[in-house]
Formats: sequence, C-alpha cells, structure tokens
Amino acid sequence: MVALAACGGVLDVETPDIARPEQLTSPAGLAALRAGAYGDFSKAFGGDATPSDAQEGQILATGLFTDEFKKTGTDPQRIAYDARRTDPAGVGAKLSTFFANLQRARHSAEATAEAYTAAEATNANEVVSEMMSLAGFVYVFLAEDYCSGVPVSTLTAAGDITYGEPLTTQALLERAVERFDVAITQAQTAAKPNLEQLARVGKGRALLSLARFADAAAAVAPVPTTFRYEIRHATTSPVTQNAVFHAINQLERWSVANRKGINGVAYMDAFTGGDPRTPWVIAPDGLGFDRTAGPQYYQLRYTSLTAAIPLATGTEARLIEAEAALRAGNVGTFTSIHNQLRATLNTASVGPISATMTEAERVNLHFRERALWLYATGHRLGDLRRLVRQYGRAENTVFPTGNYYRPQYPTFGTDVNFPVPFAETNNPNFTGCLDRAA
Amino acid sequence: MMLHGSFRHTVLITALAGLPVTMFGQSAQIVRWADARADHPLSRQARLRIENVTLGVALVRLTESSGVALAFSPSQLPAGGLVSCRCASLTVGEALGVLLAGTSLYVRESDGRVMLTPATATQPTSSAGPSLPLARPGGGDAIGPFVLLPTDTALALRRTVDDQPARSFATIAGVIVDSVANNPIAGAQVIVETTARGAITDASGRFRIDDVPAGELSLRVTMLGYRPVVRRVTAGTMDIRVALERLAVGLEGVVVTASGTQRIREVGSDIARVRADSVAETSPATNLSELLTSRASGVYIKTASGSSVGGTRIRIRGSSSPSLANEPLVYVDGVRINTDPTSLSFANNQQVPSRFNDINPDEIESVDVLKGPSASTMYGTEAANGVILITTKSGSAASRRAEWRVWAEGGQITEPNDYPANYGGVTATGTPCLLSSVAAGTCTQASLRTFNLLMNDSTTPFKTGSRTVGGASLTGKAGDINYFFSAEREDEAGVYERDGIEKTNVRANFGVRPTEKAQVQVSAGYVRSDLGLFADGGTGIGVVTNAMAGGACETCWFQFSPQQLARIDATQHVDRFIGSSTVNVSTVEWLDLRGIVGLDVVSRQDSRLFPVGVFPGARAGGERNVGENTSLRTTADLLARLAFPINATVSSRTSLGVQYLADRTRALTANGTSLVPGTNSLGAAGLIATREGSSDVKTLGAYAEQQVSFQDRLFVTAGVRTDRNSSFGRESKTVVYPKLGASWVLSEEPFFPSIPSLSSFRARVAWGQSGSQPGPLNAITYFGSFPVVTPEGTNQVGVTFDGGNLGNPQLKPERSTEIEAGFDATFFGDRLELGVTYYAKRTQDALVLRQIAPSVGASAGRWENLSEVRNTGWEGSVNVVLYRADNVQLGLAASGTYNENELERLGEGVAPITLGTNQRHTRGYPLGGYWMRNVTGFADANGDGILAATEVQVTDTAVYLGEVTPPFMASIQPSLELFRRLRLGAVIGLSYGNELYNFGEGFRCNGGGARGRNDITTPLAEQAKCVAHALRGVPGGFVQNAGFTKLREASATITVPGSWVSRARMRAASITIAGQNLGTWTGYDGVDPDISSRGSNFETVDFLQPGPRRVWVLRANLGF
Repeated sequence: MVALAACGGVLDVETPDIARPEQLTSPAGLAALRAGAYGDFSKAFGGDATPSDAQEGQILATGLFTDEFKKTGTDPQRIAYDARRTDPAGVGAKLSTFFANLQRARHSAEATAEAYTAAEATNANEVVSEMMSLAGFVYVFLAEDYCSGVPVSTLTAAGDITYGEPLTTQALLERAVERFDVAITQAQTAAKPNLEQLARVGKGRALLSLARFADAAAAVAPVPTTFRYEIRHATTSPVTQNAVFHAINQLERWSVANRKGINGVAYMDAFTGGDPRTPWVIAPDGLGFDRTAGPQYYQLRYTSLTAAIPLATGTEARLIEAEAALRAGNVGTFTSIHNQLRATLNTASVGPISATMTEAERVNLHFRERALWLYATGHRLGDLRRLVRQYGRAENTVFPTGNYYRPQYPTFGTDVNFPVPFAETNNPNFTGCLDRAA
Repeated sequence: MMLHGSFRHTVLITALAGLPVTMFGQSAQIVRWADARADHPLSRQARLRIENVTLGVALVRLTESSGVALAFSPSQLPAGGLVSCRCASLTVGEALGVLLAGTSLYVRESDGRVMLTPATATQPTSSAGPSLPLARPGGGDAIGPFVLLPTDTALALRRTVDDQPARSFATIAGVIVDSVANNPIAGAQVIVETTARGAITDASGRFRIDDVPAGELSLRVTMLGYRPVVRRVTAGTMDIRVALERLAVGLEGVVVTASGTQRIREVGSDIARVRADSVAETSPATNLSELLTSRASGVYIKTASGSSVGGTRIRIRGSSSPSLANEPLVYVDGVRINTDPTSLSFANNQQVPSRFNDINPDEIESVDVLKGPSASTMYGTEAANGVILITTKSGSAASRRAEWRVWAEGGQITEPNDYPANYGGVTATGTPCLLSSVAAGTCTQASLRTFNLLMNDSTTPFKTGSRTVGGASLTGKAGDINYFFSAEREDEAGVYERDGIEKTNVRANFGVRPTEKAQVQVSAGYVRSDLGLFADGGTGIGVVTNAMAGGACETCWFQFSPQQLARIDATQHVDRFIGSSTVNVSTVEWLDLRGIVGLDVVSRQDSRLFPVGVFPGARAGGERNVGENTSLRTTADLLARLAFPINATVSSRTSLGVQYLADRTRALTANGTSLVPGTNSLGAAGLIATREGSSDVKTLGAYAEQQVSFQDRLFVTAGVRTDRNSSFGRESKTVVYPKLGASWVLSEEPFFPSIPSLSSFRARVAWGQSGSQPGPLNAITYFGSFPVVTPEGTNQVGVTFDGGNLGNPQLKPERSTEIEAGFDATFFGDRLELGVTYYAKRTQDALVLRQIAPSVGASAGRWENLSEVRNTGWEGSVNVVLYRADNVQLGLAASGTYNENELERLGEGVAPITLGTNQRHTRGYPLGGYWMRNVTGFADANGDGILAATEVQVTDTAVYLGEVTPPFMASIQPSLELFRRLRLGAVIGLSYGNELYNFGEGFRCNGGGARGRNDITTPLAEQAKCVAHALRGVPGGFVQNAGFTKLREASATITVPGSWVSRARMRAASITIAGQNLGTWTGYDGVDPDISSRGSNFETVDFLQPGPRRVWVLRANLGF
C-alpha cells in the first residue's frame, strides 16, 4: 500500500488556492508580499469593513476608548472599553483581533523588508524604507495603545519562533525610532522624498511620545506642510474599504461623540460653531444600531467606503514642531505655527489663537488643536496618555469620566490603556502587563 | 450457508442463503437454493462429478453444483442402488437424465423450479441415457401434494401422502407487525407447526398459507432480531395478527461493517441499531436527525434552531478533539457521504442546513451506530468519533409479486414556546426609568410597561405552519432481480414567512444474481431540495432577536420589523446523488469477495437578497450573496473474506480489505452590493467580490481482521487498519490502528450455571484505536490572499498570514484508544432484556489549533498534536414487557448514557484555548466548558428593594461554570397495545448535567428591556444576575442548569382490520397520529434548553433564537 500510495500518486492533491512561501521569491511574488504588508497595515490601522460588523483598527479602537467616538452598538466588550473598562485579563475577541492585526502588520512589514533585501531586488531600498516605516508606526501604536509590557516576537522564514520579552512603552518607542531611521536612510538612497517624509513624521511622533520634543521637531522639520501619506481604500472587498465610514455611517455601531465623559472635546460643537475640521451629521432616523444609546451621529471626515485615511501629514509635523516650541518656551513659534495651520481652513470661525494664555491654557489649546486636526486618525489615545505622563495631568481630567451614558455601567472606569490580550499568554515570556499606568 | 440433513419424506428448499436457517419441524431436508437464471434452469451447467452415491445424495450434490433447485420427496426415490455421474460438462437436464434413468420419476419445470414427481400412467418412465424425462405437456397437475408458497421465496414444501392422510384443508392469512412500532414486518417466516406448511411475509407484513389442515393449528413466527412467537389459530382465519417483540440483544441480528457481514453475537462492541423502516412510519420526526434523537444510546444530537432548517451537532460518546470537528462518519450502503453540519455559503442566523438531513428516513431500512474506536477501527483515520452506517431498503425480502406501499402525511407546525415580555419602567412623563436610575435617585418610576411582541396576537410573527408528505414505494422481484423503488415529496412551511422545505427524494435499488456465485446490489438515491432560509434569530437580523431585544410597545422592534426581515430572500437549492454498486462473489464456499464502488455528489446553490431600500446602512443599496458549491466523495472498497472450519468446534474467518476515499470540494462565492432596484442578480450589482475555494483529501487504507470462533459461542477477533492520507504528504508515515475484541455467549456454555429467570447472557469486550485527521492544509505553511489597494491607489493582490497557516511538518493524526466491556442478558424468557456497557476512550496526540502568541504576527494558531482527552462512561438499555394479556400489552424500552469528558493534557506552556469570550479548553476540565466571571452574592443593603451594581458581589476572574454537553442522557419509550389494533407510544428524552449560557436574557439586561432592570418586584436573585450582567459586565449569573425532560414524541397508530383492508383490495393499512415536542420540564429560565445558537463544534450559547417547534402529523400507510 505504501508503494501504491507513494509511487502511484493516488494521494496527490491540488492546492490551487494558497501561496506557499517558496512561491514568493520571484519579483511577482515579492510584489505580492509587499501588497500583503500594505493590506495588513491597512486593516490594523483603519479596520476591516466586514458587512455584518466592522473589525476595529487603530482609529476605531482608540477613538472609542477616548473621546472621539461613543458606542451605539450592542457588543458588550466594546461597550466596556468605551466606558474605559477593559477586562484586565485581556479576554475578548474584538480587542484580541485588533492586537493580532497590529502585530501581523508589523511582522508582514519587517518580513517583506527582509525578503526584498535577501532577494536583492532592484527596488529594495524603496520598499524597505516604506516597510520599515509601516513597522515603525505599528511600534508607535503598540506603545500608545497598550500597557507597558508588550512583547514583540520574531518569526523566521523557516517558521522558527523566538518569543519576545515584554517591552516597556519606552522600549517600543525606541524600536520605532530605529525603524524610522532605517526608513529615512533607505528612502534617501532610493531618492524617494515622500517615503522619507513618511518616516520623519513617524519618527517625530515616536520621539514626541518619548518626550524628546526637540528631537521630534528636528525629525519633522524637512516635512512640508502639504505632505500627506494616505492609506487608500476601494470598494473591491471589505478589507479594502474604509471601515471607519462603514462602522459609523453604515453600521451605526460607532457614533461621533461630543464632550464625552465631561473631559471630552466638543467635536460636534466645534463644527456647529463653524470649525470645519470635525464635520458630522445626524443619522436619518437619529438612532444607532442598538436603538437606545443614540442619537447616532455620522462623521463626515470620510464620506465613502473609498475615502483615504491619512497616516502621516505635514500638519502633524507642524503640530509636533509647535509642541516642541511650547516645551522650549518659544510661545511665538508655537502661536505662529498654530495660526498658520488654522489659516489654511479659510474660515473666520477658526481665527488666530490668543497670544495671552497661560502655560496650561496653551497646553489645553494645543491638545485641542491636535484633537481637531487629527480627529479620527488614531492619535487621541497617545495624546491623552502624554497629557498624564508628560504634562502631569490627572487621568480623570483628561480621559472620559463621570457618569457613563449607557445602562451597562453607572460611571466610566479608570483604564488609560488596553491590556495585552489573554492570547499572548501563549508566549512563555509573557505573564501580564508590566504597568497599566499611562 | 449450506445445511444438510437426512430427514424423512420432505424436501425443504430455502432461499435464505447466507443467513441462519430455521429448521421447520422434523420432516425436512434442507438443500441450498439458488434462484434459477432467466434462462432455462435445465440448461445450466451441472458441474457434477460423483461416484457411487445414493440417488438422494446425487440430487443434492447436483443442486449444490449447479445452483438449480430440485424439489423432490426422498420417500419416492428408489431404495438402494448407487449412481455415478461424471456430468461436469453436461447440462442439468442431461445430468438428470443420467441420474433418473430407470426410475419412475419425471422432471417438471415451472417458474424457475425443477420438481421430480412420480410418473403417472400417462407419463412415460424415464429411460436410460442422457435423454431428459420430460413433463407431461400442458401442465403439472399430476404433481399432487407439492406446495409452492405464494411468497415465492423459494420455500417449497413437500408433504408426503403417506404421512398426511387425506383430510379437509383450509387457508389462513394475516399480518406480522412490530410490537413497538406496530408497522408490518417483511420477511418473517410463518410456519404451521407439524405440517411444514409456511410462508414468508411480504413487504406489507402479510402472509397467506393455503391447504392447512382444518381445526386448531400452531403458528410459529420467526424473524431475525425478533423473539419467536407460537400462536394458536383456527384454520380459515384470515385476519391473524401477530406482534413480534424486538430482541434488544438481537444476538442473531447482523450488521454490515467494513469487514463484512457479522452477527451481533460475534462482535465484541456494542452497536446501537435503529430500525428506521419501522420507526419512520409512526414517528413525527421530519428528518433523520430527529429520527435518531433519543433512539440510539450514546448519541447526542443538538439542534441550532427551532425553524424548519436548523443545523445539527452530532456527538457519540462525547467529544474527543479540542479543535477538530467531532462529527461521526456516515456511510450509506457502504459509501461515505458528506454530512457537513453547517452547509451554507454565508451566515444566515441559525439556519445552517445539515447535509445529514438530506437522507430520507422513509428510504432507510436500518441505522447502525459504531460508537467509538473499539468498533470503528476498520474505518481508519477519520473514524474516532464513531461511524453511522445507513442501510437503505433493498427489496431483498420481497415476493415475486410487485407490492406497493403508499404513504401520505399531513401535519401542522406551531410555535409552542413561551417568550419573555419586554419591560420598560417610565417616569410620569414617559421617559425611561430603570431601577438602577431609581436607586441612583436620578428618576422616579411612575409606571411599568410590558409588551410581548412574540406572544401578542397583533404583533406575533409566528404563523401556523404545515407539512405534507406523499410517497410511494414499489418492492418486488422480477426474475432474478429484486428491486425497491421509492419516491417522496415533502413540503413544509414553517412558523415564519419564507421558512420551509420543498424536497423530493427518489431511490432505485436493485439486486441481481448474474450467476449463482455472484450477487450485485445497486443503490441509487437522488434528492432535490429547496430550502427557505428565513432570518429566525440569534443575530441582529433575526425576528426573535428583534422582538426580545425590543421595547415594551407594539412597534418597539429592536431594529427591524418582521415585515422588513421577510423581505430577505434566502434560499438553498441542492441536487444530490448518492449511489453505490456492491458486488459479492463466492467462487468457492470458503471465500467471499466484496467490492463496493460509490460516490456522493452534492451540488449546492445558495443565494440571498437584501432588496434595495429595505435595510439601512451598508445594505441600503441592496446586497446579493451567491454561493455555488460542489462536492464529490468517492469510495472504493475491496474485501476478501476467507471462512472455514478448523475442526469440529473451531472456525476461522479472515478479512482482508483495501479502501480508497477521495473528497473533493469546489466552491465559488460572490457578493454584490449597490444593486439596481428591483433586481436580484450579481449582474445588476455595482460592486462584486468573488472568492474561489477548493479542497482535496485522499485516503488509502488497508485492513485485516482475523476472527476465531469456538462452537459458535466464543468469538475472538483481532484486526489492524493502516492508512496514508494526503494531508500529510507523500513522505508521511503509514498510520496503524489495531483492535481486539471478544464476545462470549456464556449462557450457551455447558458449565454456565442454571440461574432461574436468566434466559441468555453474553459478555463482550473490545479494544481498538482509530484516528482523526487534520484538515488538508493544516500541515503546511501558506499564505492567504486578499485584495489590496496600494498607497499609489492601484489594486493588487497581497498575501498574508490572515487566512494562511503556519505549518507543522510533524503533524500526525489524532489517535483515539477505546476499551469497552459489557454484557447483554435476557430474563424471564426474553421478557426482560438488559444491556450494559462501560467504555473508556483516550484520545492522544489530540490536535490543538494552538494559539500562537499574537506578538509573533503569524496565523492565529498552528496545529499541533499536543493534548490528551479522556471520555469514560456507562451505557445501558433495558427492554421489558411489563404486562401482557390477550388484548393488552404494556412495554417499556429505555436507554441511558453517562459520559465524563476531561481535557487531561494540553501541552507544556499552552495557555487555555479560548472559544469566543466565554468558553475555554482548560486542562483538567471538560472540553469547551464555560469560564466566566460569576456572581457570588448580593445584598440589598439599603433595603430599597433594588439591587444596585455595588450591592452585587462578583468574582474578579473567570471561573469554571460547567460543561456544555450533557453528561447524562436517557430515553424512555413506553408502549401500550390494545386489542391488537391500537398502539400508543411515546419517546421521552432526558438530558442533565450541562449548563447553558442564557446570553439572550443577559443581552436584554444590557439593553434595559429585561424585567430585572425595570420591575421592582423582581426577586433579588434575578436582579443580581441582571445587574451583574448589565452593570458589572459579569455574565456568569446567566449560565444556568440546562437539564430537562422532554416529551419528544407521542403517537397512536390504528391498524385497519384485515377484513376491511381486503374489501378495499389492499394488503395492509394503518393510520398514525403523532406529535413532536409536546412538553418540556426544566429549571432553565430561557426559552428552551435543547437549543444552541452558535457553532457546530463547542461554541454553545442561547441567544435570542427560536425554540423548537411543535409538529402534529396524521399519517396513513397503505399497502397494495
């Protein structure tokens, strides 16, 4: 029988649907790897527009946890983290998937960079630059979103796993900076200024979180204000669609928030007052998915399933510079940068900022400006944590607090970040968060 | 089987070759019968070579060598003298000419039979030489007392003139029925004792015996698997009715397994058998799953919905694998079939059709369940979860007369469940005011509103459904061909709009003996079904969900009204063919060859439409889902069986076989959105996404089994199966599974003590191994592919581990080892039958989709042979006649099983595997158990009658709250027969020991519509659960004991008197009224504990889905 099976080929089968790693070393195969890394990052960043229920990415997850969005769906886990009440054990499919998507995006980008390098592809510098930037952004997200103690493991092309030790928030950010530095170098070699600027904004964001304000400003200095690096979308399939638009404007499971939990920014009021940066409109019937937690407000930042989402912009570069100036006591530069940015809105409703503010008021204004400029781009959680960590603000003065607006919980909880999901306990080096503080 | 005897005067020829033959009285000689071929039997090859034997022996040998039955009376053979015949090359006729030369016998052939009769005055005496002594032209009137039974089962009886002096004769007739199901029994032998006259019942269970002596007679009725009955009757009675009691032990019953036909007394393991042919006629079961529920001990069947089309989960002796499907294999007439429990291209609530239910119960003769590796070893790598063997009707027991059976069924389907009302506490101004807000002092409740959208006549979406079934079958023989044709049409409209089934089943089975040594059986079944897949519940687009999660007013549907949901047009169309050819060849007496080739082809089209403008959000522009799926399963099986006696007391049987299995699936799915209003086609979609998928699995196995029997009382069997499977590649090792078994009918041993009341006792023990294989791609590393938009805005295809797999080259099948031991006993002359089995099954190298730490950034898991799972348990069955009198018989059949399931090992460093949020595989606990934070206490500290969130104590971490599969299950089937005409029966199912998460009520707490959030009179314990779920995020309070006792079925069958039947020119008629799901007794708070709304493997939750429906049917069975 053995001979029959082996020689006769009676057990041979076809597997036309899958791609084996060894099939991906050709130029076309490398291109598929590269596209896959884009796709994995897009899913981790913008989410997945699954028809029945979106899977949150960086924008939806952090926006709901902070003051950008509120929950109008019924999923208990999402309601819990909307109320800043995450399960300390990290049990829960939604956030587990989000974390896995982030880590997969990181691995895909790093593995693709490695594959291009190993293959000595003609466009290796360009691709390595972009991939290292994408990986760097994931490290930033992990640092901004999660408790201190996120492991990063490695997987070789041969399938060997090396489990990582839990990394502190600072260590994650430093790794991000390392990736951005590589990306900058590679982009310069490839003469791709757009990719260099992407890396510079990412590096600036990481350095800002590391409280290296001057370094951050220096990193983003060459980035023009008009720069935009966007994650593109198309209607091709749920994974290529803009999941933020889908979750809020179609599924009605997320809603635009306004003054959420006392401390929340008045995003909607700002728009009503003439600020065009956070446009919204009420849903046709006014009700969200759960029919009770409404009203349902649609965001209009992204007006279709194909709308692109900016990952890094020149505006962010300027905001980094403004904050560095503020930290350096250079109020004039700080004010000037903000006014220049606000002037681009071309509306009288958003005029120049006051020059006579206290230090605290400038901090408040700066972070409000960041909240409005960077609304629904996945920056808010990092900013709130920085307010606590770098500016000494009390958590209950920056995060949503007080009475929760749904019957599930009487008040908002006290979480300031996400726990590492329970599934990570399959990493023998991981036992839990090192620190849940901001 | 060939039996020889030397009895006086009478020849009995029987067609029951291969089966044990009952001896009919003292005056019979039995020779082997083989049906004559279509050509003239006298023209067959004699193949006879004899030297100096008596004429009687010579004729017997001629019968054996030629296969042509010869009917003769030994008393009329000339005494003395020996004959010889080197007749190998002669025809039968020529050989007879040689043998009968000089005798006064002549030969007459009629309807395939050859009879030797004394010459009369008008007939010439045979002359010497090869010329044939011909019968008198024009007929055989002179054959005198030969009797040809009307059933034409080749039973020919000769009553000698000198033994039976002339007397007056009469005719008797009647019907033989099953004492439990009350349905006719075909193939039963009916003999008039002392006369050797008899008959075999036809497909309607009817018999007729002519020329019986007048006066009182003893009628002996025998049937395999039933207790023999002797009944005194009066000659001339034409409506005799004999009810046979099924033997629970059924030692003489046979099962057809991988290693061929075996008597149950030979098998060391317990095999559950369901006589579907009898059950289906009187049961209200609407599909095969329902038919088996509570009828086979150790078999657990869970349904996902109370609608017409709900998925099923079948478990036999517990779950063995943490990650693989734990479904048993299913074979139909020797061919493995597709039984995908969730066979749909898109998620459509709990309406996930099961391919298992494509099989029409009315076409099935029997269902045998091999419960575990100790019995299923010979089925190889995929049989660890047991094997269900389905045998369809063949017509093999039919008479030469074509017999029609017609059945018609009409029924009503209703929604019998109680659903909870929606609550809403409000202030004086009508704004919502929950108890938690009252406790917090933020509002004052002025009134409490309640409304039940499902139970209120003005809003209920339920309607009374209907069920009609009509079918007919034709059974009979034509020449050497036995046949069974069947066609059935089933139309069912469920309790929702668009919920229903239209199904047509057609079957044609043929059996033919092209030669005396060969038999060919062809089985072909076709089913075409159209299923209406309504949005029942369990998700946001379900009617029940939108009612129970809604508010306390008649328009307060949660999101969608029933009218909106009824606009979803979801259907499944299936064309399926299951066919097989089985060839049995016996070239020599000690060798049987069997070959089976068959296939199962399923062509499936799934479609769903969300019309334009009916649903908001992403579906506002309409959505069209289409799935085309084709699966082909091919089975080829070759078996050689050598059986011979070693000596007078020891026999040997060796089985050697090879089996090849190939499964191939191709699927194409497409989703279209932005439809043109009024259209229902991808062609009118603005956006289309398609996917293609395929799967191939091939298995090549060989098996050998050796059985040694001692005096037909002790049977010892050893076997081995080896497999290679495509899932592991060419380089993989061959897997070997051994087995051992013994069965000992101790009560037949001389040394067995005489125990009062004990009639028979058999001890059995079996040990065996079997396996479960991973999926076809689980061992290799690969990427999934998906569309991507690059930063440049171009569309490309990327590869990713999401949808891919991190392979494991060391992957191998799971190996399950099981030992079982038990006994079967009968007491009080078979009035009480008892069977007890203990089993212990251990699954090693159990496959785990080991979760990979997400920080690796690869696929979610990797298949590894890490764990070990234990299942141990007891099974028991009892069948007892509680009271028996002339016109009353009260019986009780019961079976029960208790199973303990434990994950004993999960692998070093492997964290408990989470299944969703609330279930886990944790070492030391049952697979898939509930793990949640739980409520530990509560106290209304301020005495306001309201539990605030702070007044409920909860655990900080998830704790174990129970298992999802019931460890204890039992079935009780009482029966009462009155006046031999009316039969009452019931099936009571019991299920205890498991828990069920009532997430539906928890969800209502979250949303504020549950009583516990609104009504201050709600008991504090209920408030505590509700408050903990809603305000503390602690769900454990709603994990509840799901034990229940359920009156699954009740039926009443009236058998129409024979005289009425005859007047209507029918053979038999009965009418049955039966109900299904007639009552449930449980402490569970949800709608019904017998329903799960999630998953086909472990995931189990009760989430706002419909409970089981109630079905009443009126069924008529007519025989012509």
